Amino acid sequence: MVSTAVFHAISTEMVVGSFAIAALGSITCAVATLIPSIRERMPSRLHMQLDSAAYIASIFGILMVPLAIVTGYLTAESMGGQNGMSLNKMIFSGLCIGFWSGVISGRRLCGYRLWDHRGLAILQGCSALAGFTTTVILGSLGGQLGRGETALDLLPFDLGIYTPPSIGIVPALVLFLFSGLALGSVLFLQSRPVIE
Amino acid sequence: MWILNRLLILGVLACLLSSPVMEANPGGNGDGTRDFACGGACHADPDISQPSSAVITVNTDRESTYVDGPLTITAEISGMELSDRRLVGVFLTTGTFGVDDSPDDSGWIVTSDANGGTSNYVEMHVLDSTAGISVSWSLTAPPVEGVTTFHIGIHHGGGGAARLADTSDNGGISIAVGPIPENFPQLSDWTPVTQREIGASTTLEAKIVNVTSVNLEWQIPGTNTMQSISAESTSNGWQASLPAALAEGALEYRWRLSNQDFETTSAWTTLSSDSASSVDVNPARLLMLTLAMITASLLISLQRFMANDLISSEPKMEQLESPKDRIFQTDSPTFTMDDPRRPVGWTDEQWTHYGPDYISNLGGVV
Repeated sequence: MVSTAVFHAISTEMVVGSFAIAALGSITCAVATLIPSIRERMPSRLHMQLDSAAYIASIFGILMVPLAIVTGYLTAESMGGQNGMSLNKMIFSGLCIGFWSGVISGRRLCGYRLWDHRGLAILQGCSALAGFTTTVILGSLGGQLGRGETALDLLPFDLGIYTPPSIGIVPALVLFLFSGLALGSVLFLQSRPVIE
Repeated sequence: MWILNRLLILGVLACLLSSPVMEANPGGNGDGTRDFACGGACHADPDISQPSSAVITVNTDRESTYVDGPLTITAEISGMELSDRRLVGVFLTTGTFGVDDSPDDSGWIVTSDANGGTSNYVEMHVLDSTAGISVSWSLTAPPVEGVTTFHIGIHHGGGGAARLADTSDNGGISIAVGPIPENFPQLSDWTPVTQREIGASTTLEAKIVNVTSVNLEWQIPGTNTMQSISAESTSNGWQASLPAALAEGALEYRWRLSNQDFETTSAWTTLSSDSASSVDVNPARLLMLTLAMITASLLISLQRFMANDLISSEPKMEQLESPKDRIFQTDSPTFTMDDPRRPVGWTDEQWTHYGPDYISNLGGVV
């Protein structure tokens, strides 16, 4: 019988691969918007294809994230239960979903014209970069849990990502309610511009 | 429609984010105070369960105790079938009829369990079924005299079926609770320490009466080597320190109390430095959902605010055409959005991107 660890490895590899493509495409398009000389040298078809690839890859990646979380949770349970590092993985997963939801939302809202606007291009590039950074940190935590080492150990400083934040259930619940209200008010109260 | 779209987005987002919250019972339910009936819907259902091959033996550190006195019960369990998760749930109960049979229903207090908590039900991971596991509970007797019969029950998987075993066939183990002898040494104000951080030594302090000498004894579970530390009398009571834990694990400790008439011990208490047993998953789950929602709402809000600039401006067609593209194109201005050759239904984006190829394929000039 195939263990959940195998399915976790498959799902995380798909997540990391998808987000790598999405980050590469989004950041390249954003840089091309910010630096006209690069945009002039880049064939417009390549620019459009990078944009499309980033959009599709980020959607596929975010659809794979719940599968990675569920298989990771079951794997942690089969390895002796949750510990501080697996809790941190859970928390970074939330951040990862948030950033990539933002990337998808921006592209869905503005379409290809997103890259006509310097501010939106910067926001899209930064969101993709932050999303990919959290994905790398998630992978690093997974390496630390599974093998006891990670490539991030080569860094000359401690990222402090192995200690989970100490928070009680009541403050966590309050934060959850506030964030739910924030998301609800943005989706329902803030006007959504229609971009032609 | 506008509302429906947003409700759909929220629903999909909620489904995505709530996925780790949904878990099946084969992953266990976590330690807790539970009756033996808990989990019976699966483990005791003859349609989906099978008998367990486990061998269970129960031992105590003393044959009787006194009111509010200590007791340690140890269960040795081996030979059980194992699922892929290798998880076994172990109950300490005062009956096997299923309800109101946890020790607290009979007035006993569980002061420590094998995972460093205070539960009568603990979940253990079994590496080797033949070697089995040893599970201990430290209890405080009820304030009334009497006799209590303790049982051990286990729930586990293996071979695709839920399984159950208990000690009802051999009658469990009976403990008599008698009166306190006069001048008997005992702990008068003591809350057992069951959790600690890795790397820090642990100082234990207890108020003890009728005592002239106190030692703190400790051992690693599963070994027969016991260490003894002499406790010091201070103004706050008797004090002794346990060595620091260098890694995740557990040790057991107890007080050895003596005076000129008696020598006795407290129950074994498990002191865990295993971070897995001390973490609370629920705040982390909420924090995960919080971060996802707050990050997404911040980005969506910024995007909607900035996207207003795009409504008033025309698409920058010149940006879509770099000099490299123009190598293959003429400088003719005839390629426009309202070109009559544009197929019906093509969007501006499609026409901009594929229009030149389309016209070229028709033999036209862009």
